[in-house]
Amino acid sequence: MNRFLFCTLLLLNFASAGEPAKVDFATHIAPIVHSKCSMCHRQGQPGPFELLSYDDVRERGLTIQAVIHDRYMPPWKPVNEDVEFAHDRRLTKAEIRLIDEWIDAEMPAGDLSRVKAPDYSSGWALGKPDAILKMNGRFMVPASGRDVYRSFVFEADFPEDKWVKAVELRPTARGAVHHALFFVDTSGEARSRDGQDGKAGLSGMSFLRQGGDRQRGSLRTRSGSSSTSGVRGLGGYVPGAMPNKLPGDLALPLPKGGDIVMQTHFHPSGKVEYEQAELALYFADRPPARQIVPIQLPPLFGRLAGIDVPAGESDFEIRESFTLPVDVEAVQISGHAHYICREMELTATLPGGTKIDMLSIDDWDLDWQDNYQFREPVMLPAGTRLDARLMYDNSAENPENPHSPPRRIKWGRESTDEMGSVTLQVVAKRSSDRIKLQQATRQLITRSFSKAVPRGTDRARGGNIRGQILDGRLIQLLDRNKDGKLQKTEIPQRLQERFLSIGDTNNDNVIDEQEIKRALSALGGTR
Amino acid sequence: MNTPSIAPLLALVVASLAAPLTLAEEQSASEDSRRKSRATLRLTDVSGKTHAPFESKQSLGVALIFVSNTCPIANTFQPTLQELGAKWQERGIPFYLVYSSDRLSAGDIRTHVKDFKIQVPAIPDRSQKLARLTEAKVTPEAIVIDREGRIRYRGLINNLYAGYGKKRVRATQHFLNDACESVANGTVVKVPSTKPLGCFIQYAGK
Repeated sequence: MNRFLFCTLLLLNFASAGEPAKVDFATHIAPIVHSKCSMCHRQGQPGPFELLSYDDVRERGLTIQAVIHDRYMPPWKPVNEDVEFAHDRRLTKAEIRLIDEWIDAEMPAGDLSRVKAPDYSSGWALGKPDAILKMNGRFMVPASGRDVYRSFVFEADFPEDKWVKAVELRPTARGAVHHALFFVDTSGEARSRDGQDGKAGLSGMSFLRQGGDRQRGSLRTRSGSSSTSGVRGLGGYVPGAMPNKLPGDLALPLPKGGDIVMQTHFHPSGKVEYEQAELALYFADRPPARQIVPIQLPPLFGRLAGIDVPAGESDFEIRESFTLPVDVEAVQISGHAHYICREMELTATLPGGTKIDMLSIDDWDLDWQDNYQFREPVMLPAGTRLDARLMYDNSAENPENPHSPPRRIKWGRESTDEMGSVTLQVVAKRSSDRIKLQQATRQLITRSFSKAVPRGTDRARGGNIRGQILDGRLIQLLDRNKDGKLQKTEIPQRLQERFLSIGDTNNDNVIDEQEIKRALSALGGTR
Repeated sequence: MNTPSIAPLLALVVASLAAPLTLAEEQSASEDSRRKSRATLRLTDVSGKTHAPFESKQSLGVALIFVSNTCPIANTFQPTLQELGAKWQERGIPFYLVYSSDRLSAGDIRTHVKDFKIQVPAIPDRSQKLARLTEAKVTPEAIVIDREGRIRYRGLINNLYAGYGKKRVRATQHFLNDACESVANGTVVKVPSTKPLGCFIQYAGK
């Protein structure tokens, strides 16, 4: 800046020092609204009303003030400050103060000709997609009643393996969609169950073959499992979240022939809405040099973490720890839980003792499950311990408690059950270390199985479950229809609950081959 | 001895009687005139039909629900409002949905009525006269008025929301329905006001 201009500015500053600065829309408020609100509050996006023009914002001024002070808007749950997130939507204190001052001054417009509205002409936030898929069928979301959880199929059917940099969803039931998670299904099972109950989509998530997809695609066998924690995700969608492209050359695998399944949570909005979303895909040109490895703590969405919250209990905690066997770079982090989870955090303790708060959410809300990308990858050396902690409040004082009066809540796939895990997505710093890292995450699952079935405790109850599951002959004996799986009806009644709780990791009342293998290896067998 | 000291005091009393009303008095006078206006409420719905609920001897009260076509919290309550409206119409407390905004056209309201299958009469309030008459601040905000024009209840429809983004699976306290029940039975409304939660009504010129 030249000196003359600097002096002029200084003088101007002094000149205006006597009177309070005038806050107006054009100069101060429009830039905040356009960078933090409009991407969602505009035509075709999930925000319930537009926030672009002066009139839009003036009409909502008091409401905006109320929801930003409440920290309800812009939606952003992490409160940790040790790491910087990309696309952080939080308003700074200074921004909130400006909005307050503007409203106190009765919302002056300023010189509206200077306002430059953001350009949303391309429609998709990330520009022209490489592919656009349309959801199979159209699903009716009722006007009122309980929230709806349902999964829908997008037939991807690509003739070759693809590497996904980003997905962007364009839902049609915009008022009703509260979040969606994307998974890859290579088994064809979701597609075959789609619409079986007469409605588009399928209920539940049992199509997910935890850690053991049937191999329809070639990618899996060639490059090894990318879903060491059991679920191959493609990210999620929440209203208000900007889709992010994975940094560098990173991308997630979509094996050839695989379908994309969208698990969707709807809040009835007051009117009937119809969902038939479009999904835009952005691909990488080539496979990434290094692959993302998810570290889910506790694994299997907390399936084996002992989530069993007594009615009325307000501080029920689960924890899981994992020590990194190799140097990694953490790329992004996300959490999953249902209604009664209140707090969720993941802390990294470096070998030197330094602690980094990777994710801390103090007011978990099922409606805003985002995937938080770090602005710069966070380096975590070998020996770093990751500690996950989730806290549940099953008291009557928790307004989000799905039961009134409270009831005992256990792990399960219904939204009124609970789950819980934090997933840190990392890449091994040296690509040769990936296998070691994946082995370690698999061992974590194995340990969880072992902990879930303590040695010797079953004899007293009249049956050594460990022994029985280990005994392949018993499975052969029970498998009356010889399909290689144990249906619930094939298991003696007194053993049903225990067998299914250990073996049936996807909650479909069937222990299939993969689940049998997993249970056998987890319980110490070598077969 | 006393007389001279009383004189200025008397003068003061006389002066104060003749003086303009104090702020509190003025407010209570305007509240009185608002009460009278509420007791003779006339409403024109979006199809042009006029409603004068208190001209009918059957009307025990009136419920005005301030709503908006774009407030998601207000919209969530539409199915509940249709149910309550049908029930209380029969029991002598007609419901009216009031759209108090200078930016909303009749066409906007008709679209909203169609989308949300609204049966309760929809009242445009572009001049925001009804909002001023009842001092409504938020959508949704329910206001129950008795035949004398007294506001017997104002606030939440029920406790479905505990805060922004804090939605219960179902409501456990039904403030509006309970207030209607009391007005219909001629008993005291146990919870006469609750703090409404939703989107603020923007008063024009402010």
